[in-house]
Amino acid sequence: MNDLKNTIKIFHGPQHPGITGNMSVELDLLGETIKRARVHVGYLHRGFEKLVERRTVVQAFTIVCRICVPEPDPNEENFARAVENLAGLEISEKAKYIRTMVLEMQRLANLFLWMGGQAGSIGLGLIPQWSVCDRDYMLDLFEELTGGRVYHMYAFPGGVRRDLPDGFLDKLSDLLDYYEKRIIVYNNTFFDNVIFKKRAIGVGIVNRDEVLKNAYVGQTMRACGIKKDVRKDMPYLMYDKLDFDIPIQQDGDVYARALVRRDEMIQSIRILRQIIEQMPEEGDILQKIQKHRKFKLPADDTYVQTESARGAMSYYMAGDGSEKIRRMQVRGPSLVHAYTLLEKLLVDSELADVAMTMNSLGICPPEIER
Amino acid sequence: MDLASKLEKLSLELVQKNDYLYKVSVKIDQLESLLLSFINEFNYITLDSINCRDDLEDGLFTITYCLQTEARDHIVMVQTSIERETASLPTMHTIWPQAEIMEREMHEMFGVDFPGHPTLIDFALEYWDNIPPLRRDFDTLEYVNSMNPFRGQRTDALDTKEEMKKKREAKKAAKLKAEQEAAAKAAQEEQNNPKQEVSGDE
Repeated sequence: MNDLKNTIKIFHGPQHPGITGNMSVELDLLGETIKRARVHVGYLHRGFEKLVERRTVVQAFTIVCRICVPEPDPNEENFARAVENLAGLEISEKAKYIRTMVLEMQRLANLFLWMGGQAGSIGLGLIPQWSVCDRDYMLDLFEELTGGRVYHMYAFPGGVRRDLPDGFLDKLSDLLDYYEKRIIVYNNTFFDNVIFKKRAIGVGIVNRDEVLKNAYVGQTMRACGIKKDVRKDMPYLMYDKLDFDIPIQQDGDVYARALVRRDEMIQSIRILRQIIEQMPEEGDILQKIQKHRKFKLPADDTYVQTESARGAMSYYMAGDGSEKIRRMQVRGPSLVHAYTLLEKLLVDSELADVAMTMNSLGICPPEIER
Repeated sequence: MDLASKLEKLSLELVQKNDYLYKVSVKIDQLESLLLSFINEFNYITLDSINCRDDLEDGLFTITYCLQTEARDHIVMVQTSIERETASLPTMHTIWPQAEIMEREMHEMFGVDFPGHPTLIDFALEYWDNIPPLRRDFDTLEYVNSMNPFRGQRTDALDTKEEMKKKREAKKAAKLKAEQEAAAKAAQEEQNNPKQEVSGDE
């Protein structure tokens, strides 16, 4: 506490471009060096977990995608799979392929958005303009497939809401060709950029020994050399039928996490190519379920996990025999990364590194408050 | 010794819910020792989440600890129930640092106490003095109506219903007056210029 004697206090956020949403980091600074960091949320509390209690399963389905703005689909997938587990619904192979495809499309879109945020956080203004534009091409496809660009409301308990439009897979294939070329450009301009390397190497190093115990997930875990991914360890949908690698790095710093994400983009493209080849032509896309006032969940509970673009995302769901959900609890990567990890990681780092470190951990404040 | 036989010795049953999910229900007095043996004997080093469910009808909170091993190839749910009114749990933050924020959130949202927890302060809410909001007896609608009443109107504001009624009556009266005037005018004209009776064929 004596260290805090001559410090000044500033609030990094909630109105700050370097904060990845509505949250604030209270910093005690000695010169440019951070002596203490405290995370504050509560600027965006929308109470999804409470809202779900008042609604039927079908009504609740429309809410869950809004839990994390840049990444709605893992929420939809978790919700749909939890309901299917409880209600004993089996979905067709075609629906599984489509859902896998949507999750990988979402992963790519999210990683492009991350790249913009990560580059922007150190003042590389060109990369966000490019990457947000490239993400938009994926949003165009989402719009064609689901009717929505950001929130899709597509993965429904029992399958998916719509079949693929004519020629959709060809368009996706063309976009993947384009992305493959773009990743080379991004590699030259961003990942190999000397400014990025100088800023990111050796900053925000996560202690490997703490990773598993403290439940750090996603790229934070894999950049420490731990080869774990829900898609491989507890495969869901069609991931056990697809061939892909889990990229890892050893250094555990911001730069290592960036390289893991770059390699994950390449793996996502690889997965999507296989899905395009293997997509069944025939098959039900949605199992018929009872009307929403009559669709009831048994008095039981379950726990599901999906690998989102930022790490494992879990849902606990309990039914009580009625048409409403007794409890739905969301556990995304952000809660632990923002509090247990970020508060510690920022101590003794520089003020200018706050936004970069936060971005590299994949923290999404809306997901913390739910 | 494998996990199932160890639990059997403690008169506990490990239920397999699906390929990757297992569940064991314990009494609250067994919880802490069981969690410790999960870590020390069976290498369940990761606490993924602590979930709380409000079973209002039974007067209980159902608490679920989700644990994973280093292999991360399955999840075990360790579940216990505590009395709603005297809800208190042992804090696990000394074993799992992430439990600190999970317990802080649960304290705010459900009012569960964690004796020995270092930071049971505000999480997402500030100066909250109502029923913890994720308890099912907390009525969101009632709270919103009580905290955010409809804004009072200006003192010189008009009552829309009354004004519309007056407007309709005025319109009706104007229409009646116009009809009466037209009738009077017609009668006057008829008096000034009486119609010539057209005689029929004679």
